Amino acid sequence: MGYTGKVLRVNLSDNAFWVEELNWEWAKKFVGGKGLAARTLLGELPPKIDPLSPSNKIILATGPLCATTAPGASKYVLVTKSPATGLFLDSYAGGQFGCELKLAGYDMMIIEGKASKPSYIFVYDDEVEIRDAEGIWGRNCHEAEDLLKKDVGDRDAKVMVIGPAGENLVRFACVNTEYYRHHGRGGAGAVFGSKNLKGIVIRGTQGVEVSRPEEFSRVVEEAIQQVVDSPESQFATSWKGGGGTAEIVDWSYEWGGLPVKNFTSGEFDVGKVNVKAAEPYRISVQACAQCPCACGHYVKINTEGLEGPEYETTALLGPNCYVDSFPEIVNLNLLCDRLGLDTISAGNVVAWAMECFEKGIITEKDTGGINLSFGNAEGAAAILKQIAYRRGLGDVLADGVAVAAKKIGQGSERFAMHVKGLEIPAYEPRAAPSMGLAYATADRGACHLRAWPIGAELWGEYWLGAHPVKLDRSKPDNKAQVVVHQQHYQAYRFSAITCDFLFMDMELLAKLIEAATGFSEVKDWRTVGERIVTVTRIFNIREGMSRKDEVLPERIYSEPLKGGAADGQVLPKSHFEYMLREYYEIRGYDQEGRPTKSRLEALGIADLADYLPA
Amino acid sequence: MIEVTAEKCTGCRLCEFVCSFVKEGYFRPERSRIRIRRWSKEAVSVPLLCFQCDCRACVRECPVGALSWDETKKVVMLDLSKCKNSTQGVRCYICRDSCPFDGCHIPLEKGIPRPPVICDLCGGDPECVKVCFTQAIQARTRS
Repeated sequence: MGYTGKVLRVNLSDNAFWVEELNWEWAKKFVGGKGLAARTLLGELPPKIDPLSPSNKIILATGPLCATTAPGASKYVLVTKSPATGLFLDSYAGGQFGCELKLAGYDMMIIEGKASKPSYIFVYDDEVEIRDAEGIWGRNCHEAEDLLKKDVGDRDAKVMVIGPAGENLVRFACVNTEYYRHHGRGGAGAVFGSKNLKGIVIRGTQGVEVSRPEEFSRVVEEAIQQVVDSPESQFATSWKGGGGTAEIVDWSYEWGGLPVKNFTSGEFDVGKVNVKAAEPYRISVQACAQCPCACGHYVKINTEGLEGPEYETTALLGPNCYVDSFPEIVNLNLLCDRLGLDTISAGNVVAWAMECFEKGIITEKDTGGINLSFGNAEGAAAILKQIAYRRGLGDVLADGVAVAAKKIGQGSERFAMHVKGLEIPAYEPRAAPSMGLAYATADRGACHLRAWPIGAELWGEYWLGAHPVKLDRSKPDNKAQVVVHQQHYQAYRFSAITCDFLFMDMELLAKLIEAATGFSEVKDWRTVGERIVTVTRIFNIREGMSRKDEVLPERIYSEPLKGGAADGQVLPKSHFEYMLREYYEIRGYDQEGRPTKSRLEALGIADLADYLPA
Repeated sequence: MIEVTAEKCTGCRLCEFVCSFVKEGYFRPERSRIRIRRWSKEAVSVPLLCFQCDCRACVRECPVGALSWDETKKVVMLDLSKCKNSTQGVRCYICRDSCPFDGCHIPLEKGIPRPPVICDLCGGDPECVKVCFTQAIQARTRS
């Protein structure tokens, strides 16, 4: 148990839905969440389809710990083919929606086809309806959530919606849920938009059983204690004084990790945007379901408020665009939330446009009179609106920094900060080179959550099993094995699904999952993790990804950072290639980054070789 | 009684999950005796549950006498055999609607009301309180 055993499939083209049984063999092999959804997507999508065509699918998946007392396990995942990268996409959100999906009786929900007109899906346990959303189409995310709740007449219903950005197929449009939580990265909002799907409303009144209730209770107690006692979770634990991810701003600045002016510098007046700057505006703290910590700090400025801004949003819409006022960042955050734009990509794209503007590559003639100088928050807001509605220059920027740079050219590709088409988040790889490898090898493009070796690199040591590995920021050695190890445990956690911010022992997490499911197969987290990483890599290879895509922007290799704690640093291309070569070797990949058949056999997924192109 | 300090509630609903697990044997927040009412947009959450208050409108107004006050345990008790919700197709919300604190909950199942669920303080050592780390709910002896 731990599963409901049911998968809801909704076909928007045929206005039909039905319930299928969960593939139990896959549940044992891939646990749930990311793993299960990735395996399903690989099997169901034909190769090389347009991500914005009706052939793409949206999979919402929960894990076996969702809707129980397991700490931080209410997260759920949206899996689809990304319109930003053309590759595998998994994007997570917390809040309440995941639990509600599970309590409605489903481990997964698969959405396929395309509705003939703007629609939303309403699920109330086993009743499913595809309803008209024409009156709601065009509304921003917050209005749409209000209207959908009113439309179903149930205040306890949970909602996910897209805003204008998703409707207009912006390739970094997000999906919002519970107002302030997002499936941010990779453009899932545009996939919703391409299906004429404005949102999903769910109400679930059923329950979730676990296999060994007494054991589960005991392990949960231990896990909760470990989470709230762990120093790593401290920043997330509000009642122990944790300030949330906003605390990372100062820390990141201290070692040169905070990106400034489109990743050119590390020098910034952080006092204007850090957690202390946020303090006067903070009103309350809210948690996702099942979370003993609660890291969602709600701020209010005049009459407007939101939960956040989180570290990534602060860094990319703030320092990276050289906006140095906390209230301005809140405004930009709120604007992105309402338009339905991913704040990480939005901040990165705007910063790139600002650099183009300062270099004269883009002029006021192109922007329609908008002054896009670094630091001009008004200009940033105006261009974000253009992007969401694909007006003027916004139409070019709406395809993301990689495509925009290709269109605009004039050397702007050199400073288009992305990997595989996904904009780089707020950790500067020149200050922590291992992060460069993590970005380059992450399945969904530049992502800080598939592996986060920065802590290990700054600390200089990392425990892999029983022995410590030495790491030196100026040398490329040993970093690949840390990234590989972290990718495995992250893939496992993302299948459980537990939150990144709550730290518990992997063995303890495995025990939790075993007690919930009763499957001993799920205990070996290293194998399960590697299996999942392999599935997403096979998906990407089938889409044409190879070694040529696992690179960093030219700026990282050759332009020294100006100012800040990592002043003068580059990540030499030779170092990067050394790390990547080591990474492929450890994984047993060939020179193009393809897994071998023998490795697939060892992982118990030999059948997946069929998905690899010859 | 369980004392509520709503400003401290983060809306994590661990109390709901634990309550349903203890009382029903599985995780089913819809049947939890304590419920969190959330205003997500405004970031406010308020725990709702029975305060064993003196007005006892629920007991007084139940048309079939299914609810009673247990003077030794100091909690409201439900006699399941008397409540006609769901068993006899009756859709009654009188106890819920009569409670001034929204402390009495009628779980819905596919839109059909089931018998009410009311906090019994777990016999004096409430489980929900143990997972409330912000101490938004605390066990108190009634003065």
